[in-house]
Amino acid sequence: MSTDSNILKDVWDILSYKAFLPDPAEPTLPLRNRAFGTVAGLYIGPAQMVGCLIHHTRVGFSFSNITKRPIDFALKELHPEDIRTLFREKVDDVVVIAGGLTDIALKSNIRRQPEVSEIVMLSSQPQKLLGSNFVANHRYSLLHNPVHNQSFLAGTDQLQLNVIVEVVKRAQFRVIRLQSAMVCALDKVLDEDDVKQGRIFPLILDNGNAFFTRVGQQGNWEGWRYRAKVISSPEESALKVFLNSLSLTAQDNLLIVDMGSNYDYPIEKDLEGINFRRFEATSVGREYLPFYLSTLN
Amino acid sequence: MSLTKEAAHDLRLITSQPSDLAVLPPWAKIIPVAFWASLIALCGFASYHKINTRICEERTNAQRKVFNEYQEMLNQDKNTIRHLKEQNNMAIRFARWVDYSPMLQGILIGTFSAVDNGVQISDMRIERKQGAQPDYSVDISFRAHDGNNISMVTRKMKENLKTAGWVLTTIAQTFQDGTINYHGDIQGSPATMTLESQYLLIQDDVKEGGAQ
Repeated sequence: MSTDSNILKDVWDILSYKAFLPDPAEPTLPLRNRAFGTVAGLYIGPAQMVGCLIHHTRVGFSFSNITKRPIDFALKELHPEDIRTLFREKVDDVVVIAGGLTDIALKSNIRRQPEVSEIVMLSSQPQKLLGSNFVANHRYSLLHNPVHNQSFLAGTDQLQLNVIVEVVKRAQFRVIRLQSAMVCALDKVLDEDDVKQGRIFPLILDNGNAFFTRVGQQGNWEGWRYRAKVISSPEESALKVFLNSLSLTAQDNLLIVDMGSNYDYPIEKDLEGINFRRFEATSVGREYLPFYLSTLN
Repeated sequence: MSLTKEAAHDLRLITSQPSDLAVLPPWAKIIPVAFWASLIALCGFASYHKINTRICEERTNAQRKVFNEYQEMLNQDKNTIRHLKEQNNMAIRFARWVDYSPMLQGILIGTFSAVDNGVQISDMRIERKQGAQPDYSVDISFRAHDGNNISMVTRKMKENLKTAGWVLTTIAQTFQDGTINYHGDIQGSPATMTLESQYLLIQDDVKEGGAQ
């Protein structure tokens, strides 16, 4: 573990208990088991980036110092200074949540392989795990149905991710988690009891993209609908059209996860006549929802 | 619960297996515990030793101070004893001198009984003059807060000496540096002196200065 050049650092790490703690950047562990103290949170999508501080204490995660900044240029023109200006405090590690870059599809031909580490497989040998579902230049996440042989396969554009990660690194931050906003939201809401029993259907809005799935009473995922750029400006929206395409009945209820960065479009006006409730985290404000969801596992 | 049974979703490229985590075994936690406990104990002992040393130094200094005070008191007592011995010896010598000079006893009793607490005799000289008749010159240095006391003392001296058969005549009285220097003359009073020899007649006058 040590080399001759940094033996003093190793000794200090042992004496300060750092050597007994996992690396904050270790991807295979939950964030709560490896990120201690204060780290930065960056929720970045094509239209907006939001920064905040994530504090991890014994009582759990808390969030503060939110800063928003619109992105009115292409992501590839992102500059490290744009990231640095989001954080006035000195922080080294950052949790990056990519918004609006993920496509989700329901698959039934991906076999669960509990004998291997799926997160490692998705990183190192995705084609072996995904088979014909694999498309080059994509990074994948999988959400398995615990009861049925169904999986949501979330693919995120790797080129855009690389651009974001590269800029964040040039801004002198270390990325300790890189996650899709849509995936962390979907992972959470699919685990809600009302959703699992088919009493309410999740609708996720992330950077103007919308995802909906209908859950049967047996816990099976009956249908899904994903559409990019449903909301494209504060005035323009195809959300009403998207909702009409879902064929919701008067008995259906929606659980809406609004991740923000939806161009501040007032979605309530398109939800008239639909039973819905917003997904809220009781301990944090609505603007911190992406960061809250990213710390759950 | 995560639906994937995986702990987390992460889109970064993963280069290590979970089993490769660079984490020390749990038993090694005893190392920092022992180190910090030793350090705290060392600091504690050092602080205790320092405090204890300071307390001991304070006690030593206090005892040394008390010892010096007693030493000083002892020296003062020694000086007092020496002074008292000197006074005692002087008094004994004086008493012997008085015993060997019975003629002077009445003079001394008359003189000293006239002195009260407010007056101090710092020096006294009685010298017999030549001749057969008892005739003494007396020099006394008085110290008193009030000059009236001296006048009263000299008046009493005269009365006392007169009772004992002596006549005190003041010759001079000067004042200098808070001291009154009294110079007088004491002569026997044949009418009142009870010495038997005064009743004896001197048959042949001896040569002047032959007897005292």
